[in-house]
Amino acid sequence: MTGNDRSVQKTIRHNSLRAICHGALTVLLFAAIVGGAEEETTTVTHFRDSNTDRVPLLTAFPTYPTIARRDRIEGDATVCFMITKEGRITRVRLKEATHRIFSKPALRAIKKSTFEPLSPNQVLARARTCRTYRFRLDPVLVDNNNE
Amino acid sequence: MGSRIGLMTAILLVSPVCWGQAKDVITRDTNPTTVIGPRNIPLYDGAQELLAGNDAEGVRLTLKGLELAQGRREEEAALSNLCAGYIKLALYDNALKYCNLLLQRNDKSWRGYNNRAVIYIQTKQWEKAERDLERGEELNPSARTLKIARSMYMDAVHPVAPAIEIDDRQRQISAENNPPQ
Repeated sequence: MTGNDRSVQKTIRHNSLRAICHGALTVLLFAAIVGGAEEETTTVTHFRDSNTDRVPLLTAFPTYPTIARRDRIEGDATVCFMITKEGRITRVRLKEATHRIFSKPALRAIKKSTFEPLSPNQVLARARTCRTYRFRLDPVLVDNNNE
Repeated sequence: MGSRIGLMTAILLVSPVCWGQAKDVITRDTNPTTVIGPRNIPLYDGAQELLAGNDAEGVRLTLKGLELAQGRREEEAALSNLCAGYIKLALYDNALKYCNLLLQRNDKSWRGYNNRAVIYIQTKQWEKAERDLERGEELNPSARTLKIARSMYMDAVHPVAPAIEIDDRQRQISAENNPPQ
């Protein structure tokens, strides 16, 4: 990381169903499942590049795909996009993803994100840029006694 | 937490048998070879009660269904549902009894291994759980319920916490903003 790079680490909590329940049974069993929802902590680290003159205003965090978490899948997804004068994100496309399961959360997160608008004396020619989301699963220490 | 997940998994485990029965009932007029739903009403009703979350009633009816069971298919369905039902009731000794009975009759029942693995996970018998999971995965590598049970096992034995990095450092691909004038 260069001196111009800044990283911001955040911890977000969200409800996550650790097990998956797809299909018709989901509706039938909703009440049972709601009780099983668990608050889970996701650590989010944002590496910023202060070399660029576009400053993130609102950074939406992708959610870790439940199935990827269940099956212990890690990976990256890079999305490219344009930033308008007003700081909105347009023309989003997926550049690459190591696993397709990460494509949707990455696209969804970037579409919700915004940048600081340009000041009136700045002129925008073009601002196509990319952002990489890295999905990782950090081991948690646990003490299990085998029986 | 674990018990909640176990509950969900157990519900999912019982579902294929239940759906099979429901389907049989629906199609019984057009398919005269169907036997499970129409012939063994308590077994069918028990499965429906389990699906509806009325676990005690579901187990009671399924026990009755087991008494009336004719043929291997009905017996195995009853044993599988009883195992899952007792898991839902957190009566793991009873659940284990019926899972073992099921696997004695049919050692190729991946659902039996799956259910028994859930019991072992709930009772923290990790090595036995791992063995049953492996056996189940050999028999049906793509089963979603096995993946859920595997996930329960992994979460208990090797838990992980999701971490997401947002990396903007390669951003300057073609930024061509004019400098302030």
